[in-house]
Amino acid sequence: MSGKNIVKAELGRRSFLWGGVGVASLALTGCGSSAKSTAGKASSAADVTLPTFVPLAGGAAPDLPATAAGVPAAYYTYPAAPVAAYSAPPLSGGKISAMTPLFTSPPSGHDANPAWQAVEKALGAKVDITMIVGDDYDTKLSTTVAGDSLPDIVVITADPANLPGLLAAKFADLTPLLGGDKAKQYPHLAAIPTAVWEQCTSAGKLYFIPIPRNISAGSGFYRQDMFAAAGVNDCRDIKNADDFLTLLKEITVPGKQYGVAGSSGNGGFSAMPFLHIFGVPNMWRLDGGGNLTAHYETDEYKAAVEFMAKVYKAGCYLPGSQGWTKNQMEDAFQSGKAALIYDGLPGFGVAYQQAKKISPAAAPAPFVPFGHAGGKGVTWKDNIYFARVALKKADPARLADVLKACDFFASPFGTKEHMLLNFGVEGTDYTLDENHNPVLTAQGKNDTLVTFKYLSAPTQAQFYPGQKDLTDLMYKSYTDEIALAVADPTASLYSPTAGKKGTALGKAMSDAVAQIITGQSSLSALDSAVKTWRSNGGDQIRSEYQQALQGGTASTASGTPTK
Amino acid sequence: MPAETAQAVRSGPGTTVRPRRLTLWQRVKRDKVMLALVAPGFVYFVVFHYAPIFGYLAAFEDYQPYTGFFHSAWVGLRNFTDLTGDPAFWQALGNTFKISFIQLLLFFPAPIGLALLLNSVLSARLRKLVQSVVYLPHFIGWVVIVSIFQQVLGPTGVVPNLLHDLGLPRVDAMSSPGFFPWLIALESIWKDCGWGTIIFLAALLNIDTALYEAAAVDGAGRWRRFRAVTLPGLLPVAVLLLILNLGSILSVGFEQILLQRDTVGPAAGEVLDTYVYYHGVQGGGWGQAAAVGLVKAVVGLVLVLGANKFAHLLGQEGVYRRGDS
Amino acid sequence: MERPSRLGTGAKALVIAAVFVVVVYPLYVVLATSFSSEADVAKAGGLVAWPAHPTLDAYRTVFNGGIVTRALLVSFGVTLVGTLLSVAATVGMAYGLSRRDLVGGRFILLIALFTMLFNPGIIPNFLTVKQLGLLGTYAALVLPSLVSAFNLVVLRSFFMALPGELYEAARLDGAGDFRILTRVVLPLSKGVIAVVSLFYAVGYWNAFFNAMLYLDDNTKWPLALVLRSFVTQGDAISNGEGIASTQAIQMAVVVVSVVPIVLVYPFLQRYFTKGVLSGAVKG
Repeated sequence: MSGKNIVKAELGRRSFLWGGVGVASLALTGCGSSAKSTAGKASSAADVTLPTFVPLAGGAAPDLPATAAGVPAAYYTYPAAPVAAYSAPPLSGGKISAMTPLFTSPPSGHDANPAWQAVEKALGAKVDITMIVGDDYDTKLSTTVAGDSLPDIVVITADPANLPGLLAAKFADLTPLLGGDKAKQYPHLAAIPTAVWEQCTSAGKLYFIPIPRNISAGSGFYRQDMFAAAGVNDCRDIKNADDFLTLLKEITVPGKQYGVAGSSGNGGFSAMPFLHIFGVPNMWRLDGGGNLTAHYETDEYKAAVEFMAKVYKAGCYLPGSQGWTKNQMEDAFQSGKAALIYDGLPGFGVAYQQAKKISPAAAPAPFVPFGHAGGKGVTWKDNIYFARVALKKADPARLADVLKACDFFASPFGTKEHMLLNFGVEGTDYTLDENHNPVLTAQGKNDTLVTFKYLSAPTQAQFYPGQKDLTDLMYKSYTDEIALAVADPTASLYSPTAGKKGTALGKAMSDAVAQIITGQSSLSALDSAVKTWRSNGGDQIRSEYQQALQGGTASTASGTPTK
Repeated sequence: MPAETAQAVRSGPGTTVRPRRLTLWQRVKRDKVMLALVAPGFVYFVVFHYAPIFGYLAAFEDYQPYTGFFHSAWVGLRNFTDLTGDPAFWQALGNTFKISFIQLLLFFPAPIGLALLLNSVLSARLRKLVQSVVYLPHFIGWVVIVSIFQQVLGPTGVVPNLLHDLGLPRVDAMSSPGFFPWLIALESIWKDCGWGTIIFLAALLNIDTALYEAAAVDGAGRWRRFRAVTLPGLLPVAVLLLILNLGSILSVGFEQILLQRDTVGPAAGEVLDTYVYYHGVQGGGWGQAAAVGLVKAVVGLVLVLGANKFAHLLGQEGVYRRGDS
Repeated sequence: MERPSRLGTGAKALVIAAVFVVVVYPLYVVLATSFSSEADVAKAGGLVAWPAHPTLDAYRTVFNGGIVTRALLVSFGVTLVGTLLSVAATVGMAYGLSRRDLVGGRFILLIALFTMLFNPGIIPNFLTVKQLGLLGTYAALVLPSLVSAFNLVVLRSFFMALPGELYEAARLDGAGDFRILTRVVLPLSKGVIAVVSLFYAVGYWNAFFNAMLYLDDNTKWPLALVLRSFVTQGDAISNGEGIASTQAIQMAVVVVSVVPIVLVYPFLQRYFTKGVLSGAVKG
């Protein structure tokens, strides 16, 4: 049994790459690695000719439409007659190999897996995937790189130090194959929004294909029923931080239920909603003069930490929960022992269903941050993609084949190919219910665990078959959360110092903040922690980003992409 | 021939004293069966432990997996000076020693005590029953063990609740920095004490029962028999394990501590392995990780050699003897 | 022997009873949780002392699809073959090195001993296994951990503690080194060999890391690695990337991995509950 999962981060990008611990704390101090793209020195996405966005025509009409802001489309039922995206298999023979993390138990092996075989038939090539237990993925990736035995498609989940060096040494520059109108050869990839592709560059080149997600990971979950019992029907109705503290105190009955629970996976104190209430910037704030301020350095951050210390002192944190596993925290939430937790929005569906199972009266809902002094809070654009894949260096003809495969795996919701990739073979792996929703059979549950979804993916649609309430709730929450979402101005930049020291620096900050929240040191300790952070590398990171920003702006102005 | 045999018997177990005048080749010929028996293991150690030794090059490089051990940038001693210049490293080192020391104090002797206790139980059935249960926690992962301890010692756990009911203040043993090393020892004892007894029980059973009978005939009481027979029978194994334990003094349970480090904070909970985890591995600092590994190995080596020598001074066999050729 | 004092016996019984309870109760809780429903687990806050709605759901999940069953077979095979090879290599080496004046003996012992202290790291080990062409083979689960220096040193010290008279008597009977091993040393060392076998077997049974590094095909995975995937899968749930395994499944996983050991243990235990040396010298 492994122990690392106890300290799992919620923002998975980096989390599983490094066994999770690093980010764990970063969620508290602000995830240093959130949605960070990796351009090389002094470059940004603006340098690169990104794939031209071409929306897909003729797809199945969603019940709730996608918006330009990034709110995902939602479907109450699976489209009645899925269309075929391909008239003939895109490839003719050969093999596509890949390496991905695995977050489930292993799927049925290839030879005993009709779904896997059907996917190969539809693609027109063998698909050979090495699936690695998520916690071990970073180790496996390092050894695979060292042993020079990379497959065609490799999931890159975080910013390993020296990512630009790794990419330049081992992976293909996709700019000549996907840049601009070239992308039109791969319609499913071209349908991925530009905002996501912006996260896919490094050193002035397009290196990645994204596994897109829906912009924001949200601001945690709360129990509407428990809030209501204390007099607040909707978290949006809370007027300010003082009222919120009163509410949390109201909810807390020592020994029975508490206002907030954390887990070691989210830094211990479910800090994210508090940061959002106080309007803390997403990692960095860029002012008009092109200067960056780290979120640690802002007054908003200080106020949020001070407030969490108050919440702790008032006894509203579930005692000991800062050392819990995520499972324990979820259990406490689902069984009504804690009214507010932080976990990423994509995990809400499961929490909702479990809580309803335990008590039908339970009313979990995504937390939408109010403003600490009235007005609105913020959320972060911290879930633009889940991971990115890079393609091993090869000749252009081979790369074109691999890209065709990627395009196939990115077949959108409502197509036959999407159905096959996600639900397997009809009759064997799933049956259709009266609303033509696929229902997995026992065999299907194992057959469909093959990680095709990490080889390339379309933008994510919301689909909770048979649960209109949940679907509506998710759609409304995404609408609200994305409306509040602020970007990380450094998201498409690369800082070598951040790559090298970012985790250790973030860990030192989260250690210091934990001491302040639990009252073991005073708020003034934050200032000295920030000072240490700056001198140990924070200032260096800042100047690297600023340099990259200027480089990026300059080349945008001239309008010429760098080679 | 008879004279030689007599000499051999006098000089103790496993020894055959032969004239030292043999040439190397004669000795090889003499020992050919023994050498053949040793060979597979020897080849294993060379191939799987010494062939990869080039990995330590990384300690002196800015190693990256994509450049390889022979093409990464040479940085000399910088990985080491980076460490020694970082106060957090010294803090981690101090915590590691503290935790190791308390482990040696509490966790090391625990299985010996339990083995002696079980050994003294006269009922074979009871002994067997207890034995076939106490080793089981060894197979439970740290995640589960830590959560069990949380439910017992955590702020809302069984023990604090009991204290509360008795009108005493709740004590949160799980997040107290001062208690942390003791907590680690306590958890280790629960997990591995029973497992650790296995080897000591084997040692106890290897004691010739005739020795007990002889002692009893001489009129020795229980305590004297314990001191004269049991203890000397157990001591060589105990000393051996103690020495080997010293070799890994700078590696305290990584997973166990990583799981609980954040609850007590780095001032008490950061150890060398977690330090490397955050400062080296996560930042792609393979070189620094290798440097720490090298330091740990050298410290372990010095301690093992020193302890072994010390054991000889006390008349113990230790791991190996100088007299071994 | 005289009877021990009543007080001493009482204290001893008390301590043993305490140890027994402290060990057994948490084990019972692990078992109870594995039979609990999700609702029971959530209500109890993780670990369940008494499953109000006992169910086999967790075990059904774990065994669904036959992946765990196949992994069990893989683990049995690797453990059996690995333990046999390891014990054979270790016994041979320990016996050879127990001869004080073995030519090169001290050097070889130190070579082995140092490997307890030095570990060049994952990547060099991987490259070595790759060079040997062992990637993707079950041999990669056995050979890289064939001999443990710890077991070697322990076994050697036990061999050396055997009374020297036994060796000499055998030698006088004209036995060679190999015959002495099989006829004298091994029969007298059943206990410690059982212990070392147990150590090796448990090592192979629990090992997942080498399988993760060296086997790309997950139909070849041993039990420990498959079970690891059950335990860690909940971690990424906030990304919607996995289906959280409940506490019940995690505990079922513990039970599934421990039961085979519980079944095998008594057979080994036979050998280390009985002294073997009694009277051996006299004969």
